Amino acid sequence: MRLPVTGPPARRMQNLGEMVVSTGMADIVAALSSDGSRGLEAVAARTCAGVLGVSGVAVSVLVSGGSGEVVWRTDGVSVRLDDLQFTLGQGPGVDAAVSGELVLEPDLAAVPAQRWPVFTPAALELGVRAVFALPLQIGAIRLGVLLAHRNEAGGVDGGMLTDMLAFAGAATEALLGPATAGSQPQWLSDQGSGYRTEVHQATGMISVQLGVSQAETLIRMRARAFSHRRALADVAADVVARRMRFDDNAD
Amino acid sequence: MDREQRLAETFVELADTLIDDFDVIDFLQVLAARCVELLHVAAAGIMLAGQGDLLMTVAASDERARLLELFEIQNDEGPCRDCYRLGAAVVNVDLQGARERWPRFAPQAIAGGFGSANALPLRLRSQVVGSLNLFHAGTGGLDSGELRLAQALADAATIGILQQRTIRQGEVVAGQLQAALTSRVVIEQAKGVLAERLQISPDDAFGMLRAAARSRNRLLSELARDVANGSADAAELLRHQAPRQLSEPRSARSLSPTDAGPHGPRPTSA
Repeated sequence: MRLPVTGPPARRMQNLGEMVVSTGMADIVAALSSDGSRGLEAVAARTCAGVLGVSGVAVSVLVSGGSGEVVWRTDGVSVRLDDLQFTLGQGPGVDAAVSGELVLEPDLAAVPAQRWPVFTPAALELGVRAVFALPLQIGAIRLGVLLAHRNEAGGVDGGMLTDMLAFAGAATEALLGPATAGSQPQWLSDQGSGYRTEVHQATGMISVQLGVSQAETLIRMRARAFSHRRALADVAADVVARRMRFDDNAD
Repeated sequence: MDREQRLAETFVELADTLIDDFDVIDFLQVLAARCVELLHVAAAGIMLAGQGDLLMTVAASDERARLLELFEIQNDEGPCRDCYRLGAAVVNVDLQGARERWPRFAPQAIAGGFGSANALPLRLRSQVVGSLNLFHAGTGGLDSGELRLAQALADAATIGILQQRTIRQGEVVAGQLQAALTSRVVIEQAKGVLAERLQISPDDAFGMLRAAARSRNRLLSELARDVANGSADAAELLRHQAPRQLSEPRSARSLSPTDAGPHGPRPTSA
């Protein structure tokens, strides 16, 4: 896929090892490296989005089962975009996680329908116009995905791509943190509950109601969320609050 | 194939050590063979330092070199040990004149058909990970060009070795992080399963899981996995619910703190 070049970078650049990144990104990378125990919390997601020139960013870590758990993000649309992909099981972040390759779409309105048949129109409805997904890898392990989006069409110029790659590298290092005696990094312990807690609890509850596996349950939840045009998180909230059941043949 | 081509090929192969599924030991074996070809030495061997500074022979161009290096280790003397200790090259040492320096190694090496020995450090800045040993049949040695080339090959191999180690360590930590997050997911699923089976709140379900894990001396994450995949009996677990918990007022929060560690759940604000 050829990247549309939008003109010379409007950033002040400086050397970061072998990469020439913007001053803003150099600061972000320095902040991430200086305090290893905080994971990505050392940098505000909003700051990172500003430096990259995007409307929002999110970093998710891949867990067994193939889906990602968001561990850091800008408020609002980023969360909904992630929920959308989780609900549908398709999208740029999903592709990046599966293929291990960059996914850069500067204009969702120009993406062929068969690429992400349900994700694309839904994302456009959310006001998202461009999406950029980078896999986060260490050795043979695909650790997670960085997903950036813009509310207007527009591509990635050379400077922005370098900034994104530098951030992806620094973020991967930061997620792993310094070697600790425990089985998880300090920042994860500090985080307490994840943001998708209710979805997982609901999965457990529904698996009992239907008498099926967790994996099968997730498929059924996604189907109901999609057919009711609701976010998976909202369906989950109803299930946990016992306002909705799955064994009453309501579908 | 001429020497230049072979040399270029060797450096390209060294660059390959930077990709993630590269077999370092296999490559070092190739490097030892290339050294013999490119540097006109009789034999080459590579030793890497392991735990406690113990040097291990990981590759050799032939059995003679390997035996010699094993001998070195056992006797704690020889060009390789000197090189590793100093972190500096040991160059063109005439073995006949080295009987005092290496009283056991030198005679053995001469008997093996070697006349002179070299050892170049596998070194990156302050890190020395081993040495590259080169043995000549006669008393001739490496000329300055060959010495530079040999050190360049050693340097390139060192970068690859260290890169591989960093990657492996990173993979271990990444695996732990993913496992911790997966465990968090499974614990929430298990809370849901118990909440539905026993018609209790997820908070109460969590308390039950923790109590059961403690009393059965099992990891919370493992018990949760059994509950989530249906191999644990929920009714059995009911026995672990303290009566006090049932009468506790329902928490206003719908989200429960997740405890994947030995301490109690951290309270989260509603």
